[in-house]
Amino acid sequence: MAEDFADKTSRLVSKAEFVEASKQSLNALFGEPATLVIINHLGGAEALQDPKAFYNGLKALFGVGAEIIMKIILKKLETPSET
Amino acid sequence: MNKGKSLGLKDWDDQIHRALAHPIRRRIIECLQERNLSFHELLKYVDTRNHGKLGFHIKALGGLVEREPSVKKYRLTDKGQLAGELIWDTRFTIARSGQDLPLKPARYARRLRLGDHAVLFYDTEDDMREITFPFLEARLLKGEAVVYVVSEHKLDSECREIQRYGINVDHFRKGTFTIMSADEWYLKKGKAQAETVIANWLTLTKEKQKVGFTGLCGATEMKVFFDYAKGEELLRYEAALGRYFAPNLCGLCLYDTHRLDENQFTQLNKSHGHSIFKGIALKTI
Repeated sequence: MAEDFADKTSRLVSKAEFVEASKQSLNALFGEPATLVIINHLGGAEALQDPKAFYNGLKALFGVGAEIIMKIILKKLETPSET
Repeated sequence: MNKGKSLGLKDWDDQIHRALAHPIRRRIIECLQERNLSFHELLKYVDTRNHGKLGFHIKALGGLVEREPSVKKYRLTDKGQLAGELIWDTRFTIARSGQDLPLKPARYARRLRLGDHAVLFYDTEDDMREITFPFLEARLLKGEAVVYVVSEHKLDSECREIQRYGINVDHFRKGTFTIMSADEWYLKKGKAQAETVIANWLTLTKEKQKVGFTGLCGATEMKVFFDYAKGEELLRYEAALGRYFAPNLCGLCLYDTHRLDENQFTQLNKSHGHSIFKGIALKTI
């Protein structure tokens, strides 16, 4: 699952775009302060640079919820005009 | 400890704050809140190899930590337990303000207050109980009436689980703790009316306050909305509660994450002030 996610994201966008889309999705879901808390729990901003590690980190925090968050991020990447 | 001298409130206040001023001492208290530990176990958990340093800090915690000579383990005194609660209260206050401090989800849930509307997203029933039961227990200790709303077919089994967790059955007899059927509470003749359910919550809160409780706390399983395909009504109900939540009510809504789609997940996070997951708890509004 983590590999699938990493593959899909690398095919769709650059690393910088992935970082931006992930932040925006988390912001939209939980708000900015909570997003900072999540990123901090994941080990800092570098955690968003590697989609596979990011997925695994989210899985540890959110359980099945991580899969929903990933779907939301992927949807955002696939339809960037909506951002 | 402190034999021959009785400490006044100010002395205890000073002593507790002095004790909590050092991170190693906070860590010692935090570890001993989980279980009693030997000196060597503490060395491991506090993450120091320096025996002298650990000994110094244990000594500085006199009155809060004591050693059981028979088993050679350290434990918290009543004052130590109080100091432990202070540590977690402080962390919760910081976490609530949106700043980051690690706070285990169950501890976060224990510290929710009247007026808080929170959501728990769980993967398994065990995960759900691991956070919900400490939350309910904490509310009972605060003098609130507690209602646990579960799917009708689980009324007996959850009653047994709650008792197995250690909540005293006397609470059931006194009307402090009630287990109710979600099917009956949320659905009337197959319909789920947000306004009616909210009015019922307010009425029940008033009734409980009339007989002396400080407020009402509810942990409610929301599966019934999915079982009866009432997803839209559910979002309407949660959004209405999100706009106005009674100040003398504390709610923890329990969602099986497997049942949710992206839109429901998003809306539910937006309509609650606190989102709790298996590994993180967030103040979301």
